[in-house]
Order: sequence, then structure tokens, then C-alpha cells
Amino acid sequence: MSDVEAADGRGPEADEPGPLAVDTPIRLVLVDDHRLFRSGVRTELVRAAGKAIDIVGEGADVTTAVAVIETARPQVVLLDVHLPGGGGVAVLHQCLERMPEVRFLALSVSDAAQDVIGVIRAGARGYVRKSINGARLVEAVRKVAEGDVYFSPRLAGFVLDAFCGRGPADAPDEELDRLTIREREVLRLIARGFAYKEIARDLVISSRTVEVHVSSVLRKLQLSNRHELSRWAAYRRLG
Amino acid sequence: MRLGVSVWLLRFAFGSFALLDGAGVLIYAALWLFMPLNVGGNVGESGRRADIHCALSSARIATKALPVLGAALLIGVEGNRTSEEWNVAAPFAAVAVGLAVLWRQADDYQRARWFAVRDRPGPLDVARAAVGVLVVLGGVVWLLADGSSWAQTDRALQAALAVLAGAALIVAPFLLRIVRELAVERAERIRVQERSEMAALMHDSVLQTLSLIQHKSDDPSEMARLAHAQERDLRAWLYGGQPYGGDAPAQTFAQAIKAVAAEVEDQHGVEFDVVTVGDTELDDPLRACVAATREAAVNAAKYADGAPISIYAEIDADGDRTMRIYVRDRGPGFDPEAVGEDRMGIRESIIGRTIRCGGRATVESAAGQGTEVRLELTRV
Repeated sequence: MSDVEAADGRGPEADEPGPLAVDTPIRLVLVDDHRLFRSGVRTELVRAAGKAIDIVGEGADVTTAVAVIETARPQVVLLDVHLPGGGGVAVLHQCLERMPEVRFLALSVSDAAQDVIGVIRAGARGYVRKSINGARLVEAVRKVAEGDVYFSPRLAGFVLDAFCGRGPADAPDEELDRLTIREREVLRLIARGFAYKEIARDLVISSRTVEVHVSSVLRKLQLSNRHELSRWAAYRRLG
Repeated sequence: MRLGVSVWLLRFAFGSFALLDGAGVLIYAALWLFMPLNVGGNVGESGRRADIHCALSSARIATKALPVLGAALLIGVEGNRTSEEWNVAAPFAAVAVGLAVLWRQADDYQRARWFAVRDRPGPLDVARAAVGVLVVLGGVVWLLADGSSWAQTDRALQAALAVLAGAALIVAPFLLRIVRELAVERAERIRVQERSEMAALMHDSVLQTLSLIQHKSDDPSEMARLAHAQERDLRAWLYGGQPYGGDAPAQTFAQAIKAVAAEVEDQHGVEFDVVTVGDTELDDPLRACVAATREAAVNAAKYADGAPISIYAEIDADGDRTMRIYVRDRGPGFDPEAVGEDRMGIRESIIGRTIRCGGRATVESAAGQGTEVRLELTRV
């Protein structure tokens, strides 16, 4: 597992963003129902990542996406939320059971909370908006490929909003329904536009610890069956 | 026909029962009423075929209705032929005829919908329905107003009830049809209305912007600004549930922050990453903080040199009634100590304003590190 390697002996300096000096490029599948958008993302990724990302397949709807992912077995799937045939959530449901090693990064034009929370709960490891610039997209793809979680500022804001008005967790049985003080701090810094290494510096913790906190928040988002979360997502419409 | 026995044989049998005590007539009439007509076996065939079906079933219904009429009359004939008996039997006959007409009518509508041969009832149909209703009503009135003796009140009551039940049976499909048609019509009207509203909106917004962009194709930054402003408005409308264009004054804290960001984006041709957490009604201290945020955003837009700018605003996120706003750019930054007294932007418009409403404001910046303006306000 690559995240075990990543955890091993990597100091804060090791994850300085720079040219992706990875021997084997990240194998990526692109799923979006708009051909124009797919070619745009492809161009952007090639421009920003060079040979570090290898686009091994494309899908245009749920059926073709699942077929392509099954044959190409990519590390990362860039997954559009709105797809004909059931949406990104359907792709996640069909793939993750059979191929738990494939990681999904949701990519959407939508800002609706139910879309965001929906794909995250279905198993996506991150959520970025389609207006993201190339460098950030590459950073997100790399994070997800390494087994980490990528939260955009907006997703961090969503999560803070969803858990808004609740104090930090103080009882173990509430653990899934609440965020710890540290998790709140990390999310707040992400929402303020800090990169992970900047958060580490600000909170005087290691980058790895930041990643652990973000993964923990993701787990809470996915596992918390507090019905308010879905209800919140249904009502909350952020522009 | 259903049982594979001749219709006439059955009718004869029922007719015999009718001679005994009239029960057969009722059974036959009930069966006739409730039995579905064997039409429309092949839905969706050509209109010619449908017409044939129409004609066939009309003939069938006519032949079916006649014996009922006859049998109803029979009750009167086989009795003592006193005027009282006639007074009961004749209304029954009338009611039966009325029912036959009306039921056949209702059935016609049903079939018309299946085959989509006739959408609207013609004048003939209306006339027929009117005759049917008149006959049934006439029967009822006759029954009730024939001035017969008290001994027959019982029978008259039963008859009236039967007629009422029959009327209910007649009216039910009509009502159902009317309700259904109303619903369909309403949905259609809403669809048409929404479509025209959408078309107007697209014309006023997206189409206008697209044509503007075509004229400005030699100015990439202006193109980007137009496209971004359009995207923001469309997004607020699609996912924010806000009226298009957002001209209405902001009512809440989050709306105000977004409105301020949008305004500065449009004026300075920059793009902010705006995230808000929590929301509440605007009050005066919050308005002052939003105004300070605007100033910070303008500064960032001017000095960030095209680097990304984030605006993060939260209110009551921990249940502590505290507002926090951060405006952060990745630009070249500056040394806050070196800022002259004349730089009113930061000192007055941001810091002074926030302090006056009871909050705290800090500006953190260093050369090469970008700038962050932080506003904090704990509300009482």
C-alpha cells in the first residue's frame, strides 16, 4: 500500500510540492459525460503534470465507466457526480465492492450539499470543483493516489457547516457525530485556503498528522449515520 | 359470452327469474353494469379498427340494454297491474334506460382515451348525457312524488336508494376523469410557464453574456471576468436557491459576504474562493464587519497580483456566538510595520471599523508570504 510507504520516514520536507518525481506515473481514468470537458481536463493534466499522470481510459456514463475501470484498473478515477445512468454514486457502488483498491476523486460543477455529501458517503476520497486549476487538480490526484484524502476549501466548509453548532466530541458514543477540536482546526485552515504543509506548520504538527485528521473526518462523514447529516445535505444549498 | 353460453339463453333464464320475483332483473342489471366491455383488446391499433370496435360495442350495448328495459317493464306487467304497481315499475324502467345511456356514455369516454380517437366530447355526447341525467332525475322525482299510500313508502325508499347508488356509479367515472384531466392540465400549464420563465432567464443572462464575450474576444481578461460573473450568478440560482441576478439586498450574514465578494470580483476582475459556515440574520455589528471584509477583499484584489484569494467566514460554528472572517491572498505580501499612516484602507476601513463594533482585527503579512486579514467578533 502506498500510504504505508508514505507514512514511513517522510518528514515534512518530503511532501513539498514539486515536479512529480515518481518513477511510475499515476494511472488515471477520467469519467465525465461531456467529451469537451474530458479533453479539457486531459489537456490540463498533461500540461500541469507532464508524464506523472497517465490517463489510461475514459468513460462517458455509468456502464462505460465501470467497464473501463474494470479493464484498466487505475489507481485514481476522476469521477463526475452527474452521469447518465445513476450518477457517480452508482459507479462508486458498482466498483468499490469488487475493486476496493481503486480510489475515486469526485469532480463536479455542482455545489449542492447533497451531491457533495452523497459521493463522499458513497466512498469518494475527495471532492473538487470543476473550476479547480491544473496544479491543484494534480495535487488532489496525487493525494488520493497515495491513499490520502483531498478536501477542497469548499468541502471543508461543507463539513464544518454540517457539524456546525455542535461542540467537540466528549463522549465516545458521540465520536462519529462530532469533530474533535483538532479536526475542526484542520478543517478551518483548509477552508481558509491553507495547503496541508501550511496547516502542519501553523498547528505545529507533522503533515502526516494533518492527513490522519482529514482521513478521520472523511471516515466520520462516511460512517456517521446521524440522520441529520442527510437532512442537512438535503436542505442546505450553498451558492 | 364470458361463460361461453349464449347471451340470449342467459337472458331468457334471467327473464324467467324476473317473472318469479324480479330478483333476476336486478342480478342481470348488476352484472351488466359491472362487467367490463370486451373492447380495446388490441390497444393502439389503427383508427379504422377502433371505429369498428366502437360500432360493434355500441350494437352490443344496445342489445344488452333492451332486455333490461323490457324486464323492468315486465315487473309492472306481471303484477296486479294496479296503478300503484305501475307507478313503481315505470320509474324503474325510466331509471334503467337513463342508466344505460349514461353508462354507455362513460364507457365511450374511457374507450376514446384508450384509442385517442376523440379527445373532447362532442355536442352529441353532451346531449346524450343531459338526456340520461334528466331521465334518472325524472325517475327519482316520479318515485317520490307519486302520492302513493304509506304502504309503498318502503319500496319507494329502496328504489330511491338504488337509484342513488346507480347515480353514484354513474358519476364516479366522470368525477375521476375530471380530476385527472384537471391535474394533467395543471401540470402542463406549470411546465409551459416554467419553460417560458427559463427561456427569459437564459436570454437575459447566458445568451447576453455569450454574445458579449464574442464581441470581446480580443480581451481575454474581460472575457474571463464576464464568464466568471455569469457562472457565479447561474450557480447561485441553481444551487443557492436565490433569485437570478441577486439584486435583492442580502438578508443574512453568508449572503452579505457572498454579495460583497461578487461585487469586488466584478469590479476588479479577480476570483475569490468564498467559503461560509453557519449563517444568521444581519445586524449592525455584522454589517460593519462585512464592510470591513469588503475593504480587505479590495486590498487583496489590488495587491495579490493574480494569486489565489480565499475568503472564509464563519458564524457560530462552535455554538459560541463568534464570527470569524479571514481574507487571505497568496500575493507578494508586505511589511505591516512599514505601512504609512496614510494607508487608511487597512487602519481605518478594516481595523478601526471592526474595533468600533466591538471586534478584533489583525493583519498578518510578510514579504513573500501573502497577506491574511482576520476579523473576529463575539456577539452579545
